[in-house]
Parts: sequence; C-alpha cells; structure tokens
Amino acid sequence: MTAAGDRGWAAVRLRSGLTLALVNAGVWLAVLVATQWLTRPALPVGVLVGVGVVLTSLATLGYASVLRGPAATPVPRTRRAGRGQVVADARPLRAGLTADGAARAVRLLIDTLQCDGVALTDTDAVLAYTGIGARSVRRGVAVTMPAIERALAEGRTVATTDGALLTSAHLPPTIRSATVCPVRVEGRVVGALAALRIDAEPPFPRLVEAIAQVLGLQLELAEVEEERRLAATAKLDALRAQINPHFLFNTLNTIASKARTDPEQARELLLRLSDFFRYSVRQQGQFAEFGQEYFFVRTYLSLEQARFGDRLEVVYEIEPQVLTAQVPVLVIQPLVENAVKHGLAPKVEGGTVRLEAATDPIGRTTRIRVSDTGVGMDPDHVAALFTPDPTTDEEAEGGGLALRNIAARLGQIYGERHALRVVSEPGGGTTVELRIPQA
Amino acid sequence: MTLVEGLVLLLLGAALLWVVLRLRPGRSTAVDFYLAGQGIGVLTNAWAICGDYFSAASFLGVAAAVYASGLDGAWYATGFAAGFVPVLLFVAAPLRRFGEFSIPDFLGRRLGSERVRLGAAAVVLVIIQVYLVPQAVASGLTWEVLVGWALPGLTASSTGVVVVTVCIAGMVTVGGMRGTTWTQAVQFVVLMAAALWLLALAVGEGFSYPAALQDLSAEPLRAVAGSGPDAVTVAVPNVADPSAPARFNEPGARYDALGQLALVSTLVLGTAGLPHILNRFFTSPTGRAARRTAAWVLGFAGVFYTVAVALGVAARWLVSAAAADLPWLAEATTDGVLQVPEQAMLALGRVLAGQVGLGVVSVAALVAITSTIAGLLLASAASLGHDVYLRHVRPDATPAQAVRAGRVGVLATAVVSAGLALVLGTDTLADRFPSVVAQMVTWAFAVAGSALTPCVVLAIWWRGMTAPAALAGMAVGGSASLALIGIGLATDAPSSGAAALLSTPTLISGTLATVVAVLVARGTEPPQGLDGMWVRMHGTAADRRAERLARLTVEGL
Repeated sequence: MTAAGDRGWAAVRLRSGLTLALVNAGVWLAVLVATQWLTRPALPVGVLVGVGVVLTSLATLGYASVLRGPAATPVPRTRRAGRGQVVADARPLRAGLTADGAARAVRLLIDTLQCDGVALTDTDAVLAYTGIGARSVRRGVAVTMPAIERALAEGRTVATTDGALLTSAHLPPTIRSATVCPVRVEGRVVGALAALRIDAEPPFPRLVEAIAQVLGLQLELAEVEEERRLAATAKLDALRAQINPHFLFNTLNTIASKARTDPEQARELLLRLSDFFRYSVRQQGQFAEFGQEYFFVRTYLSLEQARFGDRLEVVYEIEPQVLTAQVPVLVIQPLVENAVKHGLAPKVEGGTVRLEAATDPIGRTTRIRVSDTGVGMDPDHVAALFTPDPTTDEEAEGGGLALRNIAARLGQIYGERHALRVVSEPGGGTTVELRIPQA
Repeated sequence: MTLVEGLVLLLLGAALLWVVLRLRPGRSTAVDFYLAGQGIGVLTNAWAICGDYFSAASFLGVAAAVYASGLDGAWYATGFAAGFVPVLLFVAAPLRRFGEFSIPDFLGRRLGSERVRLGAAAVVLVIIQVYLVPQAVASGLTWEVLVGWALPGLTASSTGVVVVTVCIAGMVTVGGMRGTTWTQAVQFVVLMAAALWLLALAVGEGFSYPAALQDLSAEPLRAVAGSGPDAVTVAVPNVADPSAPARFNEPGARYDALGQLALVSTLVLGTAGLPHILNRFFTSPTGRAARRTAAWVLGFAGVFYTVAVALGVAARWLVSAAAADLPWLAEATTDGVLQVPEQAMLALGRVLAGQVGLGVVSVAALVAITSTIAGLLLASAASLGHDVYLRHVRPDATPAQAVRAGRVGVLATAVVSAGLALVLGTDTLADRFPSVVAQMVTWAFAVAGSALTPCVVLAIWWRGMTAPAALAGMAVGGSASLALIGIGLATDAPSSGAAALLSTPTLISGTLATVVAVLVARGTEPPQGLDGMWVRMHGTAADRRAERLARLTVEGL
C-alpha cells in the first residue's frame, strides 16, 4: 500500500477510535443512570462496575465487527499508473492466435516487460515481433532462435544469456539475453512469448511467465467464445468482447509501472489477474451470482482508481442478502464503466461513483443502483438514450450503446418483469437504477 | 413516572437511536467480511436471525411459563434453543447450496413440480398465520399493561392488537421496515441488552438463582384459580406423580414424561420448518457460511434462553415478596401469585426499576414482537407475491405489479391474524393454558415440524423423494397436526398422559407425515437429473470456488 493509502487508513482508524471512546463513555453514563438514579434504592457499586465492564467489553469486542469503519469506506488505492491509454477497440488475440492480434499484443507488452524486443510465435512461425531490429523480422518467418525452439519443444521457460541459444537468422547480434515462455491453452503449448534484452540480464522470468499465462487464458476465452457463438447469444458476446480487452490492457499498464519498482508485487498482481480471467472464462450462461459480478466491478474500479488517482472515489453499499441473487452477467460493470467514462472522466475535479444493491422482500426484486456525481446529461440526451440513432456516431460511442445493449438483453431475459431507469441532469450527476426479479 | 425519569428515558432512547443510525456499519466492509465467510460477517447475520427468531413467546412467554410452572416451563426454553441443532446438522448448508430463495422454491425445484411449490406456499401461509396470532395476542397484553387505553367498544388488549398490527403492517407495506440485516441485528441486541439489564438489577436486589430455587421449592407450587375479586390460589396438581404435590424445581407441574418429550420434540423439529428463519439461511454466500451462522445462532439462543429462564425464576421470587408492599402489584396478584403469568416479566421490571423498568421491558417486548411480525409478514408477502402471483397468476408482471401483489399479501395476512387474535382473545385461552403465548407458538412449531420439516429433510437427504410424496406428506402432516390441536382445544384435554400429544402433536403427526411420504415415494418415480441436484446440494466445490472468489474480492486485484 502506498504512503497516501496508509495516511487514509490512519485517519479512518483515528476516527473510529474516537467513536469507540464515545460509545464507551456513553455506556458508562447509561449504566450510571440506570443503576444509580433510576432505581430506588440505588444498586450497589459492584453491580454498576460489573455491568459497565461487561458492556464496555462487549462494545469493544463487537466494535471490531459490526461498528467498524465509516459509512463510506474509501477503498485503498494502488499507485497511479504512469501511462493510462485506453485501447478502445483493441482485440488482440481474441480471434485466436492470429498475426494481427499478436502484433497489437507485442506492442503493448514491450512496455510492460521493460525489454528491448518482444516476439510472439505460434508453434513454428513468428506471428509478430516488435523492438530492436524489427524491420528485418517479417510476419510468418520460421522460428530460428534456438531458445524459442527449446521452449516450444520442452514446454518450459528458458531464461538465458548464452549466445549460442540467441543466434537468429533475422535478429541483430546485439541481443545478449532472453526469457522465453510457452503459451498454453488448456495445457497444450500453442506458441511462445519471447522477451529480449540488449544487456546481459534476462527479463524477470516469472513476470514473462505470468503474462504468457494471461495470454493463454485470453486465447482460451477466444475458444470458449467460438463455442458460444454456436450457442447464439450474440448480445452477450458483444458485451464480453467489449469489456475484456480494456480490462486486460489497463491492468497490464498498471502492472507495467510496477514491474521495475516492485517486480514481486507485479507478479502477484499478474497472478490475481489470471485468477480473474479464469473466472470470466469459466462463467457459463446468462446468469451469475451477484457476488461474482460485484467482484468483477470492484476489480474494474480498483484499476480505474489506479488510473484516476484521487479524482475517483468509490462507495459500495451492498446488503448481504443480494450477494446470492442471480443477476444477468456483465450488466453492472458496463453501467459502472459508463459512470466513470462519461460521468466523471470529463469532470476536472473528479467525483464519486456509488454502487448500491439491496433486495426488496415485498416484491422479491433485486435493486441495483449506480450513481455518479459527474457531469450529468441534458434531458434530450437522456430521452434519446434508449432510441437507437444511427446518424450520430458520436452518441453511439457515448454510453448509449452499452445502455441499449443492456436494455435489449434485459428485455430478452425478463420481458416486462424488469425496470431500468435513468435519472440525470446537467451538472447533477447520473443515476441508473435497475430492478430485476429475484430467481 | 416523574417528569425527570421520563426525560431521562427519552434521552437514553434518543442516544440509542443516534448510535444505531450513526454507527450503521460501512456496508461494503460488513458485506466483504460476510462474503469471505469470516466470523465477523457471519455474526451479523446470526444476530439478524436471532432478531427474527426471538419473538414475544421467547421474551415474555418463556419467563411466564417458568413463572407459572417452574421446571416444566423451562422445557420451552430448551426446545426453542435446541431447535437450531437439526437446522445446523441437516438443513442449513445443503439448503443454501441448492440456491433458491424460499422453502416453496426449494421444494418446487428439487422435486420438479409446480404443484409442490403451490402446496408448500399454502403450508407456509398457514404456519405464518398460526405464528402471527400469538404475537398479536402478546402485543395486546403488553399494551394493556403499558398503556391501558382502549378504543371505544374494545378492551385494552384488543386495542393493543389492533394498534400494533396496523402500525407494523403499515411500516412493512410502506417500506419503512425492509427487514434489512442491520435492523434485525440491532433488534436482537436491544432485546438481549434489556434481558441482561433486568437480570443485573435482580442480582442487585439479592437474587441468587440456587437460593431462590430452594426458597420457591420449599412449599408446593400454587396457581390462581378463578378471576376478579373472588380468585383464590390452589395447589397445582402433580401430573407426573399424583401422590406428591407439584414443586417449582421438579417436573410434574404441567407435563409427565411423555408430555415433556412431546413438547421438546415439537419445538426442536418445528424450527427447521419455520419459513422466516430458513429464508435467512438462503442469503448466506456459501453453504459453509450458512452452517457457521446456524452454529452462532445456536450459541446466542442458548445464552438468551438461559437468561429468560433465570428471569422467570427471579419474577416468582421477587413478586411474591413485593406484593405486600406495592398496591398496584397487590391488585394484580392473589396471595402473591400473578393472575396473568404473561405479565411476569413486566411485573418484574416494574418491581425492580419502577416505571422505567416497566418501560424497558415493554419496549423490549414490542421490539421482539415487531421484528418477528415484520419477518413473518415479509415471508408471507414473498409466498403470496412470488410463489402464487408471479408464478401462477401473472408470470409477466412488472416489478411494480409484483410489489403491489406483495403489499396486498402483507395486508391480507395482517388483517386475518389480527382478526383471529381478536376472536380467540386472551381471556378465553388464558384460563386453559398457564402461559398462553408460549402455548400458541407451540402450535405453529407443531404445524411447521409436521408438514414442512419431514418433507424438507427427506428432499435433502433421500434420493427417492418424489413430488406426490411431498404433497401427500405436507397434506397429512399439516392436517393431522391441525386436527389434533383442534381436538385438544375442543375436548379441553389435560396436558398429561397421552392427551399431551394433542397440544404438541409432532410426535404423531410428524411421524405420520414421514411414513406417508416414504410410502407414496416408493410407488412413484423420482424427478430427472437427480445426480446434478445431488452434486449441487451436497458437493463443496462450488463453496470453495465462491470462497476463493470472495477472498479475491476482499483482497482486491
């Protein structure tokens, strides 16, 4: 955690410490009143002390549980990422391990891995290369570097400074070290990721391994999607495809800024990221428990917080009853993303995104509300949100598309049984409220 | 109550309210703990379940039963607390893992039958109704003692029934009380604090449990017979051993061996079929968290009912001693014995701390009543609105229509229960049963334990269970228990011997339901996809996955 985060928590601790002191003082006062003034004759002092000690102990012990924390706990922030470009339509690798996707991936990875050349290969040819001597490496040339061949053949990571393993028909001889990791999909090796450096220190192997793992999962996702396309849930696919690349590459950017300062933490983050992707790959069907979607949203927001720094504050208000409710997958995250991208990003001083979720036991509905204190929209824009308007491309990019997608999917799933409401005014923020039936 | 006392009480109430509202926990933090299945989050949910479970029967009824019958009253406390053992062992975790939201949902999906869902919804509504009536009666009793004001044409207790029912139904309908976890948890804490405070005051007055027990048992137990000015006390007959007089610390004042067994088994088996309690287990994030919650509830229930029993003993001990000095108490007692045992807790509070004590006990009782009634009304709204209306009347209803259906359900349930409470009245039943509230709650437990518990347990643990078997089991169990209770009421049966089974019939009706269900199931085909359901219900892979995800959520990416 950063120093700023520590200070934040220190303030929270101080505040809650003061509250506890106040509660304890109140307890003693109440016990005093109850045992000495209200009862006649007054009870012995022993009773007062005994009751007071029991109650204050209970308050102190219970405090750790129920009363801890202010009503709006700011989530501790990770350090602000150095660069924060959003790769809006990048879908490298999503269509499988193709040369086009690979080219985009290596361009992103060369920063992340802090090296001088990155190559991505399938089992026999180079799909993409970027970095030193890139002009002499064309797509589709056969792999000639022994280190890569060995990694592909043996299915394990090769980190080397041995010149004999680094000689290649295409690359300049200035390359002095390399780390090569196989990329696997469901256990089988489908390619390799090679990170090259011109100094004699090979790139941190575990970092390269972790990225190779993420790439593998990304490919696995592509395969799952292929299967799913056959199962025809086109709208959901569109949403999945929309979200994951942003997410992946924003995270990689965050991790890139850590890679040099704290490789161990960067590796830790990567492992979590692959955990995360594993969940979204294995997620079958139209529904997920709210708890899973909540995790997805939190992960997304923590990454956005890393990018926006102090400008983005997040408040969660979740009732425990909601956690197990079934909600359509990938509906909440786009709403939150809209709040960040269209509500807060244009606002210089930033603001707060609030995610509330509760159940209404009377109608047995789940209510999910995403609100922001951002720039808001004018009434015409709000009214136009749900009516597709092909002539204005700009608007389609601006929140309307995701919202229309969601509305269409909810309509398919629930028919009339759901409600989606948008309230907004210029300068007054936007609130999106969603009500869906429970089970 | 003097002005100063009133002001102080008001101030304390305001301070309590402030603390509750101000310190509403950071909900994301609380939910994170809960999501991760950590003790702290589970604890909050356990408190909420206690808030739902500890009703007027627990707070006023157990103490009243102990006050009236000594040891035989303590069986209520035993049964109420032990009811969570079957829940913990057999029901909580698999029910949660199956992943539905209510008992009709669970049975309907598990047995693949809409008719089972409807049947279970009907049984749930009956149980809720039978459980609501004693709560309404208890609110009438509390009102009578605390306020005493009556609407024209009604007695004070009837006024209380009407006022309390209208208020709670209004709150639930309009949405002021949504049964949130935090509200229910606070209600439990208030109840527990009031009980402990009373006990501390009693100890301050020199109350010692063993000594008081010895004092009270020195002479044979007496009870008030008749009413008004010509009431007298008579010795309570000993049903266990007719040759000796009944004593406070010995069995026999109410039940013989069979009667005890019937009562405790009714209460223990009934808890696993109470809809508003089981509904809360469905909200645990994992099966393991549900089981941990049940374990905590068991612990809290143990402590609470121990205190309630001690308070009943304290009431018997203090009231008879104080009756001579206090004119208001002399009016309510005959030879130092309260005419209405239900007032034991209220009288104890007033003896110990004057009007303030009376106020605290009344407030705690009303809190207990409110939280339980609200929980029950919400459960009935869910059954009527969801299982009946949404599933069968208008499957394509909008959220607004669903809410309207739920509200109508709440109001209908409240009106019926208040009507029943007024018709039955305390006066007609109080003569028959020494502690009428606890006795009436027992009937709800009997119906739940006979109609629902056998079917739920069989559906969880027996692969051969079928939809016709569940329907038959619920019908036989429900009607048998209701019929036996009705016969018991009509024939004025005593609570000893085989006749005890009439007022606490689960031993008979529950067994009957189980036998019928098993026999019918033998002749019918189990639903398809049994293996998948079994893995979902009893497997732990999903639990582990959810726990791992929760850990990631809490720790962050």
